[in-house]
Amino acid sequence: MIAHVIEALAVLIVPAVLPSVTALGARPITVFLIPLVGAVFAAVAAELELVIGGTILEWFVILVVSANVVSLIRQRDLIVAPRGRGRRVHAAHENHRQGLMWRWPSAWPIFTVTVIGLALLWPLQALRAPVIAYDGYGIWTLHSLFIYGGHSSFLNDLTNPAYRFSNPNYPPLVPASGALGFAVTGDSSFRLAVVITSVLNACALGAAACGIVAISEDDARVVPRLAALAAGVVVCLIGFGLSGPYGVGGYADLLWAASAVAAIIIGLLLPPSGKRLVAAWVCATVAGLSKNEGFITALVILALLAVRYIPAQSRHRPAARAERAGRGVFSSLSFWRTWALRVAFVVIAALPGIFWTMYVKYRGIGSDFVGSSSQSVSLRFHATASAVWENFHVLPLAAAVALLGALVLRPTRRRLQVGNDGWMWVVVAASLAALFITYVFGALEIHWWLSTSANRTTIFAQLALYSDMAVWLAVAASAHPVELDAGAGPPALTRRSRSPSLEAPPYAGEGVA
Amino acid sequence: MRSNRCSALCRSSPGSWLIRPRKLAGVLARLAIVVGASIGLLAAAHTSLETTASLVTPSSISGWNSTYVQHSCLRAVFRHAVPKGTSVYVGGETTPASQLLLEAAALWANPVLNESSARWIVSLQPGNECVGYTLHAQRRRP
Repeated sequence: MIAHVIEALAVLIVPAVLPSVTALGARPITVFLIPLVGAVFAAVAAELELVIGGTILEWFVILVVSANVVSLIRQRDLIVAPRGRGRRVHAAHENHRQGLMWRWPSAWPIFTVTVIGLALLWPLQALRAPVIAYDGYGIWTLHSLFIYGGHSSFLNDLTNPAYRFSNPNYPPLVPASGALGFAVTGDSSFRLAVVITSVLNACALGAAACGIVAISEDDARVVPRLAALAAGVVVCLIGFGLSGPYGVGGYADLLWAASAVAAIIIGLLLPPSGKRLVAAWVCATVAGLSKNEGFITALVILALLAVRYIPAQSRHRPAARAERAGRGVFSSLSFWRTWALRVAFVVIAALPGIFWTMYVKYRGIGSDFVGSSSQSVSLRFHATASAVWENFHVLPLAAAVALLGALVLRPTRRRLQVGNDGWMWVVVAASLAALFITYVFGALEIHWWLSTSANRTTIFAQLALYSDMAVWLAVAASAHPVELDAGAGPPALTRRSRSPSLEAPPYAGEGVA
Repeated sequence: MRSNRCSALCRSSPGSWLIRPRKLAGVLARLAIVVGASIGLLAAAHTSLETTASLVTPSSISGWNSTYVQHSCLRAVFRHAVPKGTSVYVGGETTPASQLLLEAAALWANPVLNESSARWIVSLQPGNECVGYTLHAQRRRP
């Protein structure tokens, strides 16, 4: 069994190393994102198996070979010197080479990865036992078997009304990762698929933790860095704690929740950069391909990423001002161009999830819970509100910490270039709204449905609020007494600005996490 | 107006007594954030450690093993009892027992919801074959 697990994980991870390092750089977060990138390849391979034909293994090989060839072409710049002789050409090449180099700047990232990895190993010790819960058998490993069977089996089983109880329209990332393990090892035991899912859960939490650690990565002081690391470690433990047996029992709930939280922290809170955008996109894609509610949340996150990374044209620019004055805000060309770009960004970034959703709709593949109920909307709403609140006791504390942080720690947050955590609350509110709509207008008997799922479907909202507290803890630990007085200017305490003798991070401005 | 003057004073003389209440409030607020967030996070982390520990107690492991053996056993017995690729009927409604059979049928047989279109009828009875269940498979007469 252990040999099969190692073999399956190696096939998922090894082909994703080069594309991940090329796209994200050699950073702590890359270590945790590599298996998730492999899982995205597996999910897309499963989609292609369903739509075109063939097997998951064939499509996976085609995808990873293509991705590695593209990455190799990009990495070629490491070896081949540029043809131009000018100083600027060489300087640009050197900068590019620095960005691609496969080494970490200090021992701190290694320490970060080691500590977070050890923290994640503790909950994974539960894998000693075959902890497979109800949906682990009834949905996720079952779908792995469907995918493992090849195109005909996959299509027939998803469209078979007898299997409607297993919610066949659920996205394919989790079952595809298990199916890839089955295909590689020839062992279709449930346990193998569940171990792979648990490792992916741990990696998603590790990515979120790396995002929290990155808040203080430019701080020269040890205490803020250790505080951020401790906050990240605690979030890892909390993620598995909120999930209980579901975190190690083959369920997809923790995977989408942790990936979505990681996408928010990396993409919406950390200072913007190209590589962080790619990392956030990977996390949002994992969330969107893991579960239906994860897809809705991923769309919201991608929309906010689009707003952040494609800003509206400055209203102070003379051309824009003249255009607005002449035509009004909504009729100006720049307004529509900006929004068209944002919509295009969301559609392209969410393409794997959108493709899956549209295809299952086209095939008439539905879910057990979609339909109408004889219970009144009012009854269902009150039952949902009560069940959600039972799992949401962290809300008052998280709200108090966020409010106090916004009032007191704004100068520190701005100095650290951490985005407004209101983004996080917006995504949580949107996710909860989608959850309420599903429960209130769903087909299943509401009390039974809530009793079997509310503690899982609220994992994202809970984890997001705990992560928000962890972010504020990291920001508070970085605060300087001068910053606690309103009106005082930000002190120069970062490594980059405090002392020229301290080495600046090699990938400054291009950091991932 | 008054606050503007205070703000100017505070900036010009950072050590003066005027700045202290505001600074003290800031320090206390920061302390409240650190203490509040730490307590919330550590309490949740403690619960998490307890949850993980509860999953690996001997009785829990025994329970998980039992369920796993039941599923694996039913899968093997199903494949022994029913020929590959045939259509099977396991019940019109989804019950825990029929769900176990549908899971066991994956990649082996084609489950159908209509009894008349099935070649085999499979059901679970209480027994000792697979941890509390015995599988019964019966070929339908044409």
